[in-house]
Amino acid sequence: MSLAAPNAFRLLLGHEFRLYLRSGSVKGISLVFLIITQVLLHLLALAIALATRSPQARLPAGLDTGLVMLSSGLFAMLLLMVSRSLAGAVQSLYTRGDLDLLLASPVDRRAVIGVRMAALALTVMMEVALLVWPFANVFVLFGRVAWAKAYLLIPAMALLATSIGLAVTLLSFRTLGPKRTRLAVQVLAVVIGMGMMLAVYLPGALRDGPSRGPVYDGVALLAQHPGGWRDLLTAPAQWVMNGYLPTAAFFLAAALLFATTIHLVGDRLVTTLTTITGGGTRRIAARSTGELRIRGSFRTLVILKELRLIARDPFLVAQILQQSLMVLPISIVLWRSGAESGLPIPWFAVIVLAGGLASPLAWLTVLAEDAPDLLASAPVSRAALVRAKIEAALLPVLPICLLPLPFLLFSWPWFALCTSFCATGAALSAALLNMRNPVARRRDSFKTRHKGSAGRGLLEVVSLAFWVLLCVGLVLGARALAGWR
Amino acid sequence: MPTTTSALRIEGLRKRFERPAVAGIDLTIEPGEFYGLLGPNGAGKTTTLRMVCGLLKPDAGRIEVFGVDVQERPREAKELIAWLPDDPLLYDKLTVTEYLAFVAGLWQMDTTVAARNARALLERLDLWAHRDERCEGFSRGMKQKAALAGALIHDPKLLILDEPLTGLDAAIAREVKDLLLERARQGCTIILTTHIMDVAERLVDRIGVIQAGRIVAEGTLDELRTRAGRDQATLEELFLQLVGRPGPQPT
Repeated sequence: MSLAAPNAFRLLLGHEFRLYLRSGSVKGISLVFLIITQVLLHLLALAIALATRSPQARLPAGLDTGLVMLSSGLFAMLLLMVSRSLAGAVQSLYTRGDLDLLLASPVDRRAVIGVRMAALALTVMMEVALLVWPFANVFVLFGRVAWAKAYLLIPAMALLATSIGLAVTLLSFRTLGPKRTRLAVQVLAVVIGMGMMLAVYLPGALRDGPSRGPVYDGVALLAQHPGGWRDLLTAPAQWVMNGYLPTAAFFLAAALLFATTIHLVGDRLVTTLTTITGGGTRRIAARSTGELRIRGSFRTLVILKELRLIARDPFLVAQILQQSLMVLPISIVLWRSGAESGLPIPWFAVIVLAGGLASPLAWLTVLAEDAPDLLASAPVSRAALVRAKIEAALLPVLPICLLPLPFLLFSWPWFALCTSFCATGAALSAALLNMRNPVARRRDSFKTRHKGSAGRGLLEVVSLAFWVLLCVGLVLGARALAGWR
Repeated sequence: MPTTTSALRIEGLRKRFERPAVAGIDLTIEPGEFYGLLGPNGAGKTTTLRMVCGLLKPDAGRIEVFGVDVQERPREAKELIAWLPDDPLLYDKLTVTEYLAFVAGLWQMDTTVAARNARALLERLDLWAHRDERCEGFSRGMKQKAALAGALIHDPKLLILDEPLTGLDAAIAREVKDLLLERARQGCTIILTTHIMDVAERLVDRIGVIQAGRIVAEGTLDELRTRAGRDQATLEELFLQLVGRPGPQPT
């Protein structure tokens, strides 16, 4: 017996949404929280609308800057959506365990895939729409009717981004294979997301003179740029500003592209999904050694095991990469704030990076043990085991701690030593903080590892701040005392 | 007259969570015995065995493994024991070889012996061809076999298996049973819990029935039949009689 198409569509769409609402990213976000956030965003929009009623307050520096700002915003939103759709496509392809069930049911396979991708586009859209539409609601009420285009523009961008995301995922699957696709696509999603953030932040951060906020500064800098760049940057905004027809045409084109993507890749996608979700048949073989090689002390084996478990988990690699990239804006802030001192101040970011990496790695090695009973039943002391696990967590961080030495030892020896010392201290402190009230968790709860232990998260920040300040104190103190350099 | 040390001696063992899980167990198992610990869900089987392995601390009582007190000398006791729960203790991202190497390291085995044992076990369990594959792609049966290889690699004197045959197909279950009987013949003491009465009936030398945290009956199958006054009864019938649930009446 086959479900009638409208019933199947409704059932599948409800299923997708239920799963999405219970997934790690939104689980725990209640309806009350959502309503409160929406009310606050509307209030914020209202405040902005009131504050920018006078015409000269609306655009930061003339029409060009306004157009560049709009274009930048559109680009940023599209990149964010592409990043989100890539991550969502990977989750649909790999993480969910229900595809076998759905594809084995009498529901049309294309309907299953179509609904899954439509749900992906819808979630991508809603994540941005919930932030933008409150502003559109208020601004339209205040007579800025052009903002009504946001109701078409954001769905259109979500459809475009999801089409791009699906195409990239499938292309990656075909060229890299299922194993590497997951890593590649997740890393790409992180890089795009972070790249977008940096693209917005960097131009303003690098600009000299008084600042009116990084986004404003960045946009103003781009608006001043002569020639083709400015034209390119203002084109999307001009397209959007030019009446309602181009926006409606963009929406229709995006919807057509999305439908074409689903139609063109549908069968291949089904094949891909069934191959990947074959579960038991998907076996990943390491390089064959021919003979068994069981070597090394207990400590070495524990360290090797921990490093292998982290390196072979694309989700963790992507998350750790994301944490590493987060340090870039911090180093820019340090650079700007320390520009007058004549010191290589951005190197202080190494301390933040070391501490920021050591903490999740220690959490993974110590608290997120997959087989705690195996270790507890082994004839080894817990202290030795924990020591080895901490060593495993710190080993990948050590090169980062030592990074200032080869670069700065000859030009700024004291600075290099202090930075390396404090980075090591920050890493060690962050790792050891995981020993405080340890509660065993599953590795897949990595993103929510601070849940239920907010105190530890706060202590990590305090500890990082302490090591950075100590380093600043050591460097500036020595300079003041000895007239160094 | 020489005295022999029991493989496992438990005296007055108690453990309480929200309610008493183990309420005073006394048990002795001799070296080389294949012992079946049976009981309904929540009877206290797993809690008892986890205390024997040193994974849980008893509230009261004493546990000795080959004369070694588990609480006083846990490391020495653990060297003698292997524990295999129903949910295999595996790392999905490691290959079988890497997993066995890690377990061998935990038990601080000589590397040559470990390599030899690992190869023998993998060949015996039909896993040799899969030795360089990650466990994440294995079926339930293959995972259970890999975990069993991990439990046996250090030649434990006392092997404790909690529901080792759950979810295995007939062929793999047969492989596992054969390997366990082989180890028992070689002198390894084995304690096994199972809900599959046929398995217990065919494999074990002696049976202990546990209910509400106490051993309510113990002996060989014949001894249990004699005590119940039912010479032809199957273990399943005896078990249901002992735990107070009516079984089918003999016709």
